[in-house]
Amino acid sequence: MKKTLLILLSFMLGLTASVALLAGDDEDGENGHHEYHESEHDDDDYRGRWLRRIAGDTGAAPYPDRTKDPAFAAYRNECGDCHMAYPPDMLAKESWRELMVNLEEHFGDNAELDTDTAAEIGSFLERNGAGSMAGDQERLPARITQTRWFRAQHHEIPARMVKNNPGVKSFSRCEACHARAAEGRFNEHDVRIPGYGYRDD
Amino acid sequence: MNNTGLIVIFLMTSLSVARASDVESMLAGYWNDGAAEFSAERGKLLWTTTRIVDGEQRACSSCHTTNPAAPGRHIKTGKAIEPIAASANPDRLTDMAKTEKWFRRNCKWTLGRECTPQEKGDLLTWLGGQQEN
Repeated sequence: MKKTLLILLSFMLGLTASVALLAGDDEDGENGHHEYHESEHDDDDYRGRWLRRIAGDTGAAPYPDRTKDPAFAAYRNECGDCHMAYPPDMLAKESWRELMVNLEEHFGDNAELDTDTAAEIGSFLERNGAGSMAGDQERLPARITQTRWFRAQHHEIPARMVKNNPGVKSFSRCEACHARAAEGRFNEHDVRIPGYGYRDD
Repeated sequence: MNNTGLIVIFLMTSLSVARASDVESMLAGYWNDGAAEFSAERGKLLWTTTRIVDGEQRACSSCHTTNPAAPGRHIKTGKAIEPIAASANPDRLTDMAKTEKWFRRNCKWTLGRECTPQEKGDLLTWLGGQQEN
């Protein structure tokens, strides 16, 4: 039992260190480190900064209230039927466009919609998707999990905690670990990995 | 108390009437499209048969389990799926557009093609009937 605790503790320490390293690595701006510490007390976390960066820092709020969008219900109901209706600003508009013309081959599943609904959701994504992905210039990510910000945030999470974890199964299930995902909140303090407990790193 | 009981009975009756009529009008539509008599047995067989599509073993039960009255789980995303059988989930099969949308998607995924009106009618007959579960 003690041994397990020790292993867990050293693992968490290692993780904290790697997260700190990662943050240092990715913060190439002048006041990057300052921003990182600030974010520890702020719900507008790492993703918020990524989003501002990929959106070209337009000054737009990182968490706009999309529930007032006329097509929000269609987006939530149709996309949310099979997986969480992801915050649309987690992916660039260009990526959403690609995805919407290819719903019949939706990552190995068929998610086709009638023309009117597809157009409605497409317009929602145009209004709410992220701007150009400055961090992903080399290619257009098809999936949220392929974006640079997502990989930077999750690359140290081992497969046994997600893919091989019956309580999670896939990174596509944000809500499995992010307790407040449905509210669009992905703060690290709210992370609880099924079978592994809270992760406050 | 008596009144409450009556209201409950009335609501349940009207619910099941609504469900029956929805399924019936869908069945009538398939019949119009050339289907013959519908068979719950054939529906059940279609539900449980595994096929290889795109190199994967696929069946309705991949996500819905072999018992349509039981909750399922999306095979890829792991998202919980409410029971599909009307007996376990009165909301099911009440919305024609929704039912057709899912037939289109899931038949293509599971069979590699759209279902025929006959197959859809057979499936609905099985899923809609409580006693066959």
